Amino acid sequence: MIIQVEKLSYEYSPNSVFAYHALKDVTTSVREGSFTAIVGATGSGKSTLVQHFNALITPTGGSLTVDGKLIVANQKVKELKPLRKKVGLVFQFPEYQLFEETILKDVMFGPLNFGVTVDDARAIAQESLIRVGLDSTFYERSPLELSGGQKRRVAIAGILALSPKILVLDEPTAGLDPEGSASMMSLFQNLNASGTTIIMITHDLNHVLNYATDVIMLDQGVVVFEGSKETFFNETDLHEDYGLVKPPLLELRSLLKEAKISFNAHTLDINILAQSIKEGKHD
Amino acid sequence: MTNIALGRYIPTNSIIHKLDPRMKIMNMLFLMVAVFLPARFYGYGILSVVAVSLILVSKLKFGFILKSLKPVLLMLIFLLVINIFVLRTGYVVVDIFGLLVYSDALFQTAYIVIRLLLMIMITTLLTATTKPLDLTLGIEDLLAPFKRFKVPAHEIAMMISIALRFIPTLIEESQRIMKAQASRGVDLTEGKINEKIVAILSLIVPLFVSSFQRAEELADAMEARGYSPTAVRTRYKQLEVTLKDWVSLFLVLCVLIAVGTLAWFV
Repeated sequence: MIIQVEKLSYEYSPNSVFAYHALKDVTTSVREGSFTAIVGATGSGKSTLVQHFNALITPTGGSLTVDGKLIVANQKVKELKPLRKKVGLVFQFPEYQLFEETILKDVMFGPLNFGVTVDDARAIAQESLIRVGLDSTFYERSPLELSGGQKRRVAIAGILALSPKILVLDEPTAGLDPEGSASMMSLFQNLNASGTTIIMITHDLNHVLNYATDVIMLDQGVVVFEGSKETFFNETDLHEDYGLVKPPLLELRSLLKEAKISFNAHTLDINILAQSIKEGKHD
Repeated sequence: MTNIALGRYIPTNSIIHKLDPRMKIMNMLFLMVAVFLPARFYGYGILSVVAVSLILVSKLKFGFILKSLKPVLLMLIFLLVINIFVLRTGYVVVDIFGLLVYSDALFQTAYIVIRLLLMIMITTLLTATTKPLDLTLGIEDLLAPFKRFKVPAHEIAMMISIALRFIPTLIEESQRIMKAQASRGVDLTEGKINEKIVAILSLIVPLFVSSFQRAEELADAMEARGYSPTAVRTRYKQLEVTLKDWVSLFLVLCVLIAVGTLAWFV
């Protein structure tokens, strides 16, 4: 387990009238190399949980271990700084974090903060930009003159440039068109294939179905599901109980069932499903 | 960041909260005038008693008021040092290794300190007991007579209410940006001076960009709904001056006259 969370609690503005318990005794874990989706309604504590992963906030109760580093309540932020490099966190709408005059400089900003030399940082930045699909014509342009989707790519390249072992994404495709969203997701899939552990907050169960391996579901600061994607979709109806939109594939499966057409009822892969219908195969 | 005390509304629902905002603003102005009358310690004594009792009546916590005073502390020390060097009248109080400290330097500093403290207490009383929206309505009404002299009363009130509305949004936004930059290794608390400058830049530039964006979006949204600053508008919230408002004005005027008389004789 690359991340192990033990009875973690987090309270916003403790001891005041605004006190709010965002996480209550959360115990969960993330497998190394997995593509873990964190789902749950707005206000369920997803964003609060992932901010613990790179020690932006420390728990008010309990603890977590991230890649062997123990984080407990009231810990000094200074000694946790190395975690920020190991765990790259891409916030929702990350384009607002761009501030340098040129795109290349902005992507170099992260590595430079962690003591990489200017030449190395430039090389890393160029590599990261190519990864997100921006070529050398973009290097000297101002990040402010790009389109929304391109800005998002630059911001993500800024995090990739830290070469994180774990990449945490908070709704990375929010506000993107379907095409941009699909290419963004395949980027993360490639990263995952090359060994990066990916943790992604999302409301889109279709993305969970197509890309994730594991699922953690939160509701009002409590873990209500933790396990593989297959278990989540095949053995529970949690997504329905908590008001998430059913992915088309599951919709199709229930329609097939109604129409009494035989098919492979356990696959979450559209191609295998199609094949099984063609062959009229039971299981 | 969220515990900024200055100018924050505290809903304790006291009698002062229920006063008409226009009258409260007038009262505050009169008390401010009283603070600036040169009535020496007698006048300040009266005003301090008034301010403290008003705080008690308003059910605000003294800790909250003290918090609002904190930012002024540095300025007070600065003032004292300047005064010690500049003012050389009165009698010598102490002799610090040849540096003579005169009585007037101490008195002047004390006067300024007391005035500042009183001013902050009085203005905090106003902002802590009046909802921001009521405050702008009050300002708009009080400025209305000056429309004849081309004072854009409504526009000023609208600007103030928009500015107030966006304070929490901007605080939230800056926290978001700070976290995002911290994830890129920015450390606002440590590092060399040039690292700190870059760190602050990485916060301020995005904040500016998003503020301008927000301003444009808001302007578009207002225009889309037909907003025109010159249009005659009606109001959902009707302000009404009642007996307790007149009583409050009367009491404040009494204080003003008392302090004024003292200033005349002292």
